[in-house]
Amino acid sequence: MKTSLTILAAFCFLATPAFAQQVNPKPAKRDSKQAGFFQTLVDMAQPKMVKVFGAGAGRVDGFATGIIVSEDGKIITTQGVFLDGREVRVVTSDGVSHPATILNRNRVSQMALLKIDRGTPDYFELTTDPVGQKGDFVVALTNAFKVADHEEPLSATAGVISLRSSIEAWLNKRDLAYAGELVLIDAITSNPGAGGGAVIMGDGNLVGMVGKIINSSETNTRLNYAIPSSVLLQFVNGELAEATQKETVKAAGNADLGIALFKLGGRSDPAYIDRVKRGTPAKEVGLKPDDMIVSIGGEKTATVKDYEQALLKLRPGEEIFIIVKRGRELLRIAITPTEKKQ
Amino acid sequence: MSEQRAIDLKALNSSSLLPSPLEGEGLGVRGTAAAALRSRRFGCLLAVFFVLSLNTPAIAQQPDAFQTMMLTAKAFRAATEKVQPSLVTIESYGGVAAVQGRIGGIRKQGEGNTTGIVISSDGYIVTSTFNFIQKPPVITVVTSDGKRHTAQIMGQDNIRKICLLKIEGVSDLKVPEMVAEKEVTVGQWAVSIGVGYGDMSPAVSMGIVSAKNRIGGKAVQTDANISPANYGGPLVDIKGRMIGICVPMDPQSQSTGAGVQWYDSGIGFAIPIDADSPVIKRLKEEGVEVTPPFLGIKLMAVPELEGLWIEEVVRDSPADKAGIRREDCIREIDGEKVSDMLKLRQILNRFESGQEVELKIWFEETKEVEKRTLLLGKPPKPKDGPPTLEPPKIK
Amino acid sequence: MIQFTTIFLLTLVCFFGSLAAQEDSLQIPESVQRIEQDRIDAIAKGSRCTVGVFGPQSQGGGSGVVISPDGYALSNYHVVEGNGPFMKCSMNDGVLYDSVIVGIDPVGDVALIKLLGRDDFPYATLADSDAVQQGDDCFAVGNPFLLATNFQPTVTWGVVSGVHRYQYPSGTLLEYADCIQTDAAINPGNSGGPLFNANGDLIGINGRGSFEKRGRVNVGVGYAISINQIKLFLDYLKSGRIIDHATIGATVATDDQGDVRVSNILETSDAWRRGLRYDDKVTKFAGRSIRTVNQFKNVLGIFPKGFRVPISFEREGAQIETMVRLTGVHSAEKLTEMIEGPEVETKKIESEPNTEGDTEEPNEHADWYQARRGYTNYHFNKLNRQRVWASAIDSQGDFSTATNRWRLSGVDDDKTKVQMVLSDDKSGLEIGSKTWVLDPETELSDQRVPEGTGGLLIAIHLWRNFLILGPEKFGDVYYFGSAPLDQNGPHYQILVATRGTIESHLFFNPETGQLAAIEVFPELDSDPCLLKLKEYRKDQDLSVPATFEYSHGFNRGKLMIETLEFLK
Repeated sequence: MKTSLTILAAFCFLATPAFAQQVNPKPAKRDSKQAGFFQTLVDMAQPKMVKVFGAGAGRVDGFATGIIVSEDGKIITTQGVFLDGREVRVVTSDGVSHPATILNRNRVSQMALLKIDRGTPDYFELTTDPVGQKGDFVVALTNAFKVADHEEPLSATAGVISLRSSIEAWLNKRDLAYAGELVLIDAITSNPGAGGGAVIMGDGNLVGMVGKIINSSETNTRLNYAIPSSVLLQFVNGELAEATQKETVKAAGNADLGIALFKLGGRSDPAYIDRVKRGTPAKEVGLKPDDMIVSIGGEKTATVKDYEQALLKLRPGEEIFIIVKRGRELLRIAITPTEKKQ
Repeated sequence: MSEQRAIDLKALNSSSLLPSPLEGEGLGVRGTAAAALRSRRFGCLLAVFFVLSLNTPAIAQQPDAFQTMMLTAKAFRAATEKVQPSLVTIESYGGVAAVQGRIGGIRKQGEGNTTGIVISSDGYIVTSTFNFIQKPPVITVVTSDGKRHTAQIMGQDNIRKICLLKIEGVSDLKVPEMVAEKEVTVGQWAVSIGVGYGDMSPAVSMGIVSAKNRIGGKAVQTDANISPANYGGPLVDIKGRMIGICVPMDPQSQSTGAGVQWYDSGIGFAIPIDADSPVIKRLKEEGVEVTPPFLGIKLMAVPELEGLWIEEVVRDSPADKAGIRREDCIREIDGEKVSDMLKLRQILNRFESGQEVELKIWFEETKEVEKRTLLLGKPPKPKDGPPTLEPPKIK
Repeated sequence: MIQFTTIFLLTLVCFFGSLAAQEDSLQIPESVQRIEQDRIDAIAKGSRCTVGVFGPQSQGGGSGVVISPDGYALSNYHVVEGNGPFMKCSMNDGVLYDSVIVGIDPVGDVALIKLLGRDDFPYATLADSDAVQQGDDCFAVGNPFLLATNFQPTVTWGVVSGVHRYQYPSGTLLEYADCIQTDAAINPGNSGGPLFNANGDLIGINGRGSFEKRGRVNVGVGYAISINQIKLFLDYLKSGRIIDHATIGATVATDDQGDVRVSNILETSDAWRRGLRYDDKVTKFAGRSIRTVNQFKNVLGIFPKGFRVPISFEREGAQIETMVRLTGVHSAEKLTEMIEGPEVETKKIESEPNTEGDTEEPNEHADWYQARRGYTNYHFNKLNRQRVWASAIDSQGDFSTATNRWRLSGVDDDKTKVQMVLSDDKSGLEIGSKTWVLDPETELSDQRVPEGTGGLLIAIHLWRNFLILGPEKFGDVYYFGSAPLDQNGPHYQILVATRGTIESHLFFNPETGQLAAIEVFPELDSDPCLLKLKEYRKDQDLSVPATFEYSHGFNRGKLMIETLEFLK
């Protein structure tokens, strides 16, 4: 009964929005706070979402979630082997199962575009502007663990946006070669079947799509993230490149600084300089044995291995900065690599 | 009943009657509840219909709820921004993979950039020992102004899993506002913050304070996400005041990595400290190491009997020095009865090595119970092995 | 308006505040503070009645929640399993209370225990879990990973991720039907603990989660048994028995059209006798619309064995609605065997007096437990049986000395004269010119007279016998629980009495204590005879029903009694 009254009040606001703003109702009564708010939000989103079923293979799950993005039945979901089976089926929120065709797949962002032969007025509008900022409450709607069956509503998980950032360094390139901005959230979405789920704001707008399950390359912990709405739009419009977005610098591999590192055999040792060869850029700028290389060209070199990889990216003749630790001092030095002598 | 007796039910029909059974009333009550339920359903559908047909976002539905939500999010951001100048990024160079195999499904630990927090303007920084699990020989710190400094590890507290760093040549670092633990209430907002994602714009996670006085009274517990991405970072209240430093914790084990298996699980810990905490004062001395206490006993599993039955005593350990031998039985520690491994851990979690503790022991030889005072020692090597008894069965 | 102004002012304060002194704490809008304070209050309320549940030596553990001032507490079956009859429960007042097992529901994974030593325990208010909506705020309290060494529980906050969820059983036990899904962190050790709504009222008992490859660690998908389901089982659990869940004797499946149809049905089931057949489309069950198999299983999963629920089905366009009686998922023997193991002749060790070497002092609460096969704690069955009977005697009077023959005279629905003479060695019924006689010395179940009533005379004969003898002397009598007789009717307190081969269910009015109905089952897998005793009339100290309403399958009839005489 209480709820009906609240709804009635809401109706009044809709009818006279200007008036509603002025009145600015008193703080919600204790017993009616937020009641029904999320339910309404989620109820509105459910018809714009689908459950996707494909081929399961061994321990790989054959299901995911999907987001309807157009009135002619285009659906975006996550990429996975479940799409490689004979048939992909999409179950709409009314419980009806539809065969789906795969229109496009993108390996970099691990997304797939499907289509079913059913038009619908219920779909998410994709925008180029970012939706939601750090700290905003979001709700993730997913079919994690395939808890919802047929017409049963998808599971709702609430959280906040943790960060909007490119976390390229955290990504394991084999899992996700994507290099643009991701929306990190603190609701746990890295669960089987959750991929392709929607992350929405309190006003119902789509923040992004839950991506494939990935582990951080730095900590091996699971990342909970969404691919932002703007990237989804590029993908749907066929504008998202198949190659890595950020052009990886063609490794020339022929740059030399004239440094020999101190190696005890472990590639995870810090990059301590053992010898500085005569007549080389290193000698020229005054690098010394026992200096430890902290970074080259903006890339942190935590280990010998890091140094070797960073070196590969340098080009002869192109000046960069190198940071070395000498004693307790950190020195920032400009250096220009030369071509490696064969 | 020997007397013949008749009850005339017909005659009684009009006189002293009992009320008939109450089914009617029951029906009435149920009917109302059902009706209320139906009208709610209908109400919801109605609302959705209006909202959709007017193409208005859900905001309009319940302006209060939505507004409060946005104001709360704004408050989170303000809280984060307030503490942000005190955050530092900690970079480590080299080191060895300290832990072989997986813990909690995590292979490599302690790699990547991590978070620290300034606790004095002249360059003392606190972070989590987890971040140095690989024992890197070189550590640098990037302060919020973007400047990189080399850092020295001063002392470390292996019980609280925190360590103190010092950077030189700074004088005006911003110290965060702290909130005293006694002012923290279970259920209040708790925001965990970390710069682990390699961006000076820190990542936040929102939750509540789940409990206080955890792990021997050393930690505040939260359900905000706590993970390698924010170990060493602050847990703050909604006013941006620091409640504590995020660390991995596990009451069953005090190895540096223990507790990471619970990352992002709704079980997280933060150690309340400030510049004046006794522990921080101790850690300012370079090389100080606060370590978990060590008794030097191995227990027998005798679930039926009270007390801890000794299977083995490590040579020259505190227990050995106190004269404890195989088949003796520890009855009480620090005035509390002990009967299992869990209880023993609970009590030991209150102590650190170097402190004294009183035990009541039943000696096999004399068949007498005696009091002994032990000087708790340091474990011979950081123990990463399994506990010496079956862990408790958790359901 | 007031709020608007406040916010405006606050904004100003913030603005100037930040200019004046940076160290000042941030100003938080009042509405945000209020939400935080409301939550703190709700959590304080919920934490008071939450318990940690440990074994008798304080080992292992899960969680629980107290639901009455005298200490009844809910937990999971899988938490109390293997603990033995006595356990320890910690509360956040810092006290470790002794507790005793009461009843278990192994299929629904629920256990009822009782904390001892107080009659003023803080307890949880049971909410209406059917009113819970997806997205509602909720919080879990409990002892995950046994962190609460100071007895202060862990609180985790989240939202309701889904309602009316179905999670499959393992074998036939631990089925989570119609459960609540939440993203509040549910970890090992939370099992048995409460899930509260934002007001701190109890909506469910946490007990399960979906876990990922990283192990048994919360990944945001936990499940709670809905409190409304437990409400239906509560009196059953108080009976100190091993409680079974229900089946309808039929299975359903979704067809090509997405309709839920009967895919299999037992001809011995009550549903068959009520007319349900293969391929009928099930549209409603216990008042809920059925559109998926899960929805059907959800309904079935919330009822204890023996409940009657309405079902609607469609056959060739025709809508049929009827009540069906649910039977047990297991036979009583099978369930007991699954829980207690096969019956052995030797006495169980538990019931033996303290053996040597056991250093424990004698249990001061030993009186709270009585072992008996098929019961988790027979003591509570006895208590309730005595309670129900005492309240019946209180309201109906004591018939124990009325051992003479009883003569009842009256008319039936057609105003035909009816007379009954009931006695220990022979009972007779006369309606008009027809006479039926029951000989208690021979097998009663072969004497189901009058024809078509399923054994009305048996019911009336046993009725008199029970009133005179009471549950202690009648035969094997146990307290069953409470269930309704009619759709939407009150839940009656039920005693089950077995005499010879005949099982009778005696329904006592929960308000008045009067015996409201007696249902006899003379034959397996066929309809019982239900005799409702209505319109009690009181004369001096005895009260007697004036209307005997009987039904058997689709047959029904009524006897209006005018006089009852106790003959010499």
